[in-house]
Amino acid sequence: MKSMGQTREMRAANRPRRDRPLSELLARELIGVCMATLKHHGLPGKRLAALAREAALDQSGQIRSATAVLAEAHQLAELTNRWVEDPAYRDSTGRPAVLALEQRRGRSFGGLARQFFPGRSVTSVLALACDARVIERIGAGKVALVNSTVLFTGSSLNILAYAIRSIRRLLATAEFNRRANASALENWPDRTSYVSVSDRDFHEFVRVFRPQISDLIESSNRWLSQRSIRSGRRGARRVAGLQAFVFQE
Amino acid sequence: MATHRGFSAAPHEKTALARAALAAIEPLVELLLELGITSPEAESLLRSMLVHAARRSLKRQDPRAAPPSDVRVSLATGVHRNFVRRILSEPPRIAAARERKGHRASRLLEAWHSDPAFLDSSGKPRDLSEKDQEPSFHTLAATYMPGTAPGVVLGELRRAGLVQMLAEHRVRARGRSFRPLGISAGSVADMGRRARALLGTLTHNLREPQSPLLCESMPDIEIDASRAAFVRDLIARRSANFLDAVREELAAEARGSRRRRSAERVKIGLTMIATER
Repeated sequence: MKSMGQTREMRAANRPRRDRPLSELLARELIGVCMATLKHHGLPGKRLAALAREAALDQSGQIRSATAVLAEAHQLAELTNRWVEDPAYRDSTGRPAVLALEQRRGRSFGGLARQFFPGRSVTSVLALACDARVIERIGAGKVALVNSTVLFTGSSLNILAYAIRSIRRLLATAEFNRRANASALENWPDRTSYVSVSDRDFHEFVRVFRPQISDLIESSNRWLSQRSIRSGRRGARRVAGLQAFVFQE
Repeated sequence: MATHRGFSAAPHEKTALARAALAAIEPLVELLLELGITSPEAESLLRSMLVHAARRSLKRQDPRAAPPSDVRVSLATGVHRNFVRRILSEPPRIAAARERKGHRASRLLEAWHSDPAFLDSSGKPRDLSEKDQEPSFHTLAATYMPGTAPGVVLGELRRAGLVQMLAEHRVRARGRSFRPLGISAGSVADMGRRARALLGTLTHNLREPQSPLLCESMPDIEIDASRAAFVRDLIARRSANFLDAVREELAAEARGSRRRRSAERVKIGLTMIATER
């Protein structure tokens, strides 16, 4: 007999077991959280169990599939970044300029599309950017940048891949902090604030902090980009960044 | 018909006199318009001045008598005695209820800064097409200022420096609230308030170095003039967001303080300015 969608065995598995080490209980919870999310994405429990066994044998921790799913979005983000950051693509007010789709000389969306999506038609890059709500068309021959963030709204696979990458980054920070010296200044910053509030207050919270988070991310992106350009190709390089999000449990 | 001082005209004479007075009032009305004073505000100010003038006039008639009662002033001015009492309790001014809380286009500007349909993904007002493409300025105006031609609203906002026309008939929000523009009584008063605030802080810090008020600045950067627009825009966006965040964070403090009225109050503010040479 099922209750709240769980079998008796599942309920038993969910109960904390004193005979298990705490680390195992926490691992069980982490897997449980991931499983629950994956079920929301339409993956059945049995298939997930099989995939979990398969994943347990893999030692690499690579996320090649997620990276592949996000490759297109990543390139679009790079294109947007160039449009926002390169002075050649700014208008007289200092913001990203309205661009011609094609232009014989000087800046154009077509030029950006060819640079960041070599081998792909400008029309398909345009469609991709419009779907991601990054740009909007102005008349027949021009485009404006309306969002400097690539939005995955409604795209389940992209959202899942993005979440996987976020989880890996979060766990990498946690792993670093586990190994780091106890000094707070040697840890990588990982801060959280949480309080119980009503849904109404939560919506207000999102409204107030959306621009703050955007500013923080934009500022961090500019800092890192400038350092990346300045240091050129010297030495080994690893992707570094800052991620921020609001949550409601 | 004689009254307390001067005369009271018959209705038809009163109309003729009022019409004659228009010549004197007209330049004043133009000045009020230039200062951005609305009709309800001007009416309130005029009523307040009329009530104060009536009391002075009644008092002059009989200087040894007690000050004229609210009822007498009410009879002389046609303003209800309850309002007379309220008006006389302070110098002539625009009634708080009539004082404009914002320009009539403020609702539109507020919506441009808060309605998700007109925001970008960072929660800031997005550049809008004037009318050809949605979300457009015309839709914004039709939604939040129905009954007013969008072109007229746009013209008014442009004159106030609150929107900027971009290439391709696109419109950008440049401000959220109206400020007096050009050299006028209002703008000079605004400048005076800001200068007083800054000088007040600097003077305080000179006099009381042991308890200074915040007065911090970053070292100047020297950039190519062609990149100045970007830096100005960046400073404006960051500062606006920072001020919004501080205002939101301190809102609870201000609310709590309003409830506990103590004798000693202090006004604390934060101003950010960009400098350029």
